[in-house]
Formats: sequence, structure tokens, C-alpha cells
Amino acid sequence: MTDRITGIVLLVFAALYGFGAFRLKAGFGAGPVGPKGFPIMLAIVLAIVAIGIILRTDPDPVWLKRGAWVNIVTASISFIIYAYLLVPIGFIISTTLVTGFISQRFGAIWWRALLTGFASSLALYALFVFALDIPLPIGRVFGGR
Amino acid sequence: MEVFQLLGDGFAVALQPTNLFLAFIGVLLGTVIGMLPGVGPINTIAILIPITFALNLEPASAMIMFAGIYYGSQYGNSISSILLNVPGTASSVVTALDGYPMAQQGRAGPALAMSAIASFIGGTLSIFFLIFFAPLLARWAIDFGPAEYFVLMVFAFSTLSSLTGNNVFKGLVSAIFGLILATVGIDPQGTATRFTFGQMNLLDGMDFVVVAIGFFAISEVLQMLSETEDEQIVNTGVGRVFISMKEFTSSIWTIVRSSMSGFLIGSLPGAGSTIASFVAYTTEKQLVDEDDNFGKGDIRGVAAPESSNNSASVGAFIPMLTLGVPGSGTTAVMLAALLSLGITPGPLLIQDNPEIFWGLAASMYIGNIFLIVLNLPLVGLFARILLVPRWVLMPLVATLSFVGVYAVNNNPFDLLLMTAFGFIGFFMRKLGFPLAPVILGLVLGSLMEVNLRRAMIYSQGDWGIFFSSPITIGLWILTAVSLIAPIFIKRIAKRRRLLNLEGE
Repeated sequence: MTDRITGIVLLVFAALYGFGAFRLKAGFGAGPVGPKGFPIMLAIVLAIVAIGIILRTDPDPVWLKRGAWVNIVTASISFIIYAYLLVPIGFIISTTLVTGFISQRFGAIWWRALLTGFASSLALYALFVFALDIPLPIGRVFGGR
Repeated sequence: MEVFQLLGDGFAVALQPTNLFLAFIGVLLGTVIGMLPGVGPINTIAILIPITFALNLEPASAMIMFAGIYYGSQYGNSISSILLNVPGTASSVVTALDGYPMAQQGRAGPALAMSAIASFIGGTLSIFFLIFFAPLLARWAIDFGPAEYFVLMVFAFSTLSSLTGNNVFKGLVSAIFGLILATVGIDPQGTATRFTFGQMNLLDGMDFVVVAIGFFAISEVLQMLSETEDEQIVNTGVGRVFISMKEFTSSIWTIVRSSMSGFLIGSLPGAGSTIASFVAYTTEKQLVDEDDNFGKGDIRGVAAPESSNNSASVGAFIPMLTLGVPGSGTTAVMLAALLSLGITPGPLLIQDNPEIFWGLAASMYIGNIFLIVLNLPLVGLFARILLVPRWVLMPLVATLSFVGVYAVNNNPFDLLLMTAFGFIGFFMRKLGFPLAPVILGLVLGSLMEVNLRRAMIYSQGDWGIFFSSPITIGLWILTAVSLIAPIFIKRIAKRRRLLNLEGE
């Protein structure tokens, strides 16, 4: 059943992608295939393969328990928040927070988790900024850009 | 002979202090990440790519380090297979079949020693094959036109898709998904902007480092988060790491055969060290296992996969370096790295950039010597790394991923993309879609499109050009075979209860 749904989702995706490709306008000197030929080809092959998946299904995967879902969704959200915090509050604080959170999700008690986060962000900051000369954001609140 | 002259020049490159140091760092890192479940050569190399840019490394030096990580991981991956029954990477799944029983019987030392020795022989024999066959293949491929290249890539996708995972259709979806990602941004001939949804950040397309880290590192973190961890009793007492002369002589032909088959399989586009180790194990089981001892702790069951997966990882460089068409996820990432360093691998690489090819080959000899030293006397020390708990290891993987992704463009937008791909990658794993073809698709996408369009310009719009030469026709036939053959292979594999191998 899972594979049927996956196959249908892929078919819809192939149709949308193919339609998007079809509407592309070729500039001058694009040659006989142009910018849309290759994407349209991909859309067609994807549609065929998607039908294959619908017709020849695998057994359903073992789905996750609720706790696992909570872990995955909260972890992903923490990555997104990280992307928005990195430049404003700087690498060290934001990385300590998100890494500590992930560590806690893997079962560490809170102070060990925070320590793991702080230690790894400090070590990587030193490695990248001082040893490898790759800039990481200091944080706008600390006068960085 | 000319070969030895050239190899001598290669050693001159490989023995430069920087390159010697990078080879050492590469194999050391490779051993560690190969051993740790959840970190593999693909995400390690992807994370290191921005660093090699920042350090302004020469292409040859970068390749020496990346290659060290790849073949080094083939040494390290057996350590966790043998001690924990948890393979460090997919290509040592088979090693656990006999290695873990040996460890349970208190013979972890001999199993680890055999694994290191078999890896060394496989690793060094295959470099010989590499330096003799790669130039031959390059000379043959020099006449390839755009049509041949296009069909060759179709072939690479079909083999990789059908050999990783256990559903051909799903492998193909993964490959197409990678190709679709490659079409985002300005098209390769600069005539149109495609699928950017008005996002300025997407004009240059998806950066492969961001996608690779998302798909391999972040999705792995999510995957591990979704598992309820069993308390593992880690026994890192390895005892004396040695094998007796008798054990060595009983395995030597197994090692030689497996090295040869491993190299051959590794050099095919699509079939990497995972399949090589699987083939070597089943072959040896049929050839030498008279008293049905394989699976119960037979040392030859460790020798076969370990020699072949090392050999295959060297063989995998052949299609990548001589044709510019990689056959596995790891070599695809290396190809991407070379491309962004301004080197286009292909039939002319060996001539035009001899320092890359010969320097790499020579460094592999040196790296294997480092590895045998690291893995024989020091293996007990390495095994202690397995004691690092997940709540330290996985957050560290996440942090390294953030830094690697951010360092590409200094743009937090890439972190959002990374998260999205991590999430998608997690679902693809759950649903049985292999991930290696996505990376291959992303890396080869624009090359494939360029070759398609060039061929069509030569033929003035006639699709017949893709069926007009013996090479293209031969490749189409091979493509068809690669898509149909797995159905038969799978029937055999099912009988052997060995399924579910994911590409390395």
C-alpha cells in the first residue's frame, strides 16, 4: 500500500515537473533539444518508473513509533531554527544549543548534552577559524556582520 | 618500462611532505569513519570539500586525501563488523557473517589480523591492475563522442540503480531524482532559468556538497534518532592480533581470487565494493567451504570480503578517472570535487594531468602501508573509539555537517536546503530508495544534458545518433542486461538470505 501511494505521488510530481519543463522558453542558439528537452525526457522516464513501482510493490516498511516521529520532527525543526539563528547570534551559541538538543534526544542528560554541544562548537570554531582560516559567523549581537 | 618510469614520477608527487601528510590523514580518518556506523566515506568527503578549497590544495593532493578516506574506510569497516556485528559501512556486511562468530569464540584477534592482511593484499594487488588497465581504457575511450558519453551515463545509472537496493524501479527513481535536482538553475548552455521558483539562491543550481551532506549525513542522524537504541555490550578486548602461518596459507588463494574479482566488479560503473564483497563471499563459499564452515567463524569468510572490498574501491577509480563517469556514490563525490577544482576527468586525464593519476596510484601504495601499521598493532586502540556513545558521536556528525554546508557559500539558506534533503533522504531510506544514485544523478546531470544536446546538434536533430555506432549499441544492450539481470541474481540471493544491501 505504501508503495502504491509513493508511486502516485511520483506520478503527480513527474506531471508537474514535465509541465514546468514544457513551459520553459528557449533562448537564442539553444540547439535542437533546447533547455526543455532533457527535463521532459526525465519526466517521461520518471512517470514510467512510477507506474512500475505501483505495479510491483514491496512489502510495507515498518513505520515508526510515536516517540521516534517526535524525535525526527523536532530535530528537523531545530535545524531550521539553527539556519535562522546562526548569523544573528553567532556560531558558538547557536551550535551549542542545537547540538546540545540533538545530544539530549540521543539520551544524554541535559548538562552532559549542553557540555557536548559547547565542547564540539568550541573545538570546531577553533579548528575552522584559527587553524583552517574558514570564517564562521561571530554573531550580529556581538558586533559581527 | 614506461609504466615504472611514470610510477616513479608518481612517487615523486606522493612523497612530497604535504601529500604524504594528507595520505596519512586520509587513511587515519578513513579507518575511523569506516569503523563508525553512521558515518561513511561519502559524507566525510563531502564535508571536507569546502576545507580543501579553503586550503587551496592542489587537485592531486585533494584526491590523495579523499582516496585515502575511501580505501581506508574499507580497512576500518571490518573492525565494527567483527567486534559488534554492526557493519561500519555496507561493504563489510558480509564480513560480520564469519567475523562476529570468530569474535564470540574469542578469536577476534585473528579475525582482525586476517581482515587487515587481506585488505592489504587486495588493496595493493589492485593498484597494479589500476596502473595497467586504466591507461588502456583511456586510450580506447578517446574516440568517444557526445552520443557515446550520453549512453555510457545511461548505462552507469542503470547498473547503479539496479544493483543498489532491491527494487530496480526505486533505484531508477533515485537516479532520476538526482538528475532532476541537477536541472535546477540556469541551464548548462545558459539559455534559460529552470525550476528556481524565483529564488536567487537557486540560480547557480543545487550545490552537491549541500545535497550530499543532507542526504547522507543529516538523514543518517535522523535515521539513528528514529531507532530505539539497544544497549550494546562493547567488548574491545581484541587479544593478540595475529594469524598463524597455517591460517594464512589456507586463505591465500581466497584472497588472490577475491582481489581479482573485486577489482573487476569495482571497475564496472555501478557495482561497488558492497557487491564485490558479496560476490567474493558466495564464490568462496562454493569453492572452498567443504565442511560447511562458512557462517560459523571461518577465517576465509573474513578474508574473501575484506580483500575484495578493498580491491573494488581501487577499481572504482577506473571509470571515474578514465571516462569521467563514476560508478559509485563515493567516486561521484570525488568527481564533483575534481570538477569544482577545474579538472574534468576523462580519457585525457592521464596524459594531461599525469601528476593526478600517477601521484594517486603511488600514494595508494604508501597509504596501504600506513594502513597495515595502523590496523595491525594499533587496532586495539582504534577499537576503543567504538566506546564513544551515540549522544556524543551523532551531535558531532550534525555539527560537522552544519559547518561543511555553511562553508560552501557562507549562506544560511544552504542549511535549510540541507535540512530538507535530510528529511527527504530519511523517507527515501524508510521506503527503500537507495541514496547513492541520487548523488550520481546530481553530479552527472549537467554533463549528461550537455552531451545529449551536443550530440543532437551534430546530428542536426536526428535521434538516430544514439544508435549509430557499435559502442552505443553495445552499451544499450548492456543497459538492458543490467536492468533485467538483478531479477535472476535476486532469486539466488534470496536463497542465501542476504538481501538489503545499500550502495556505499
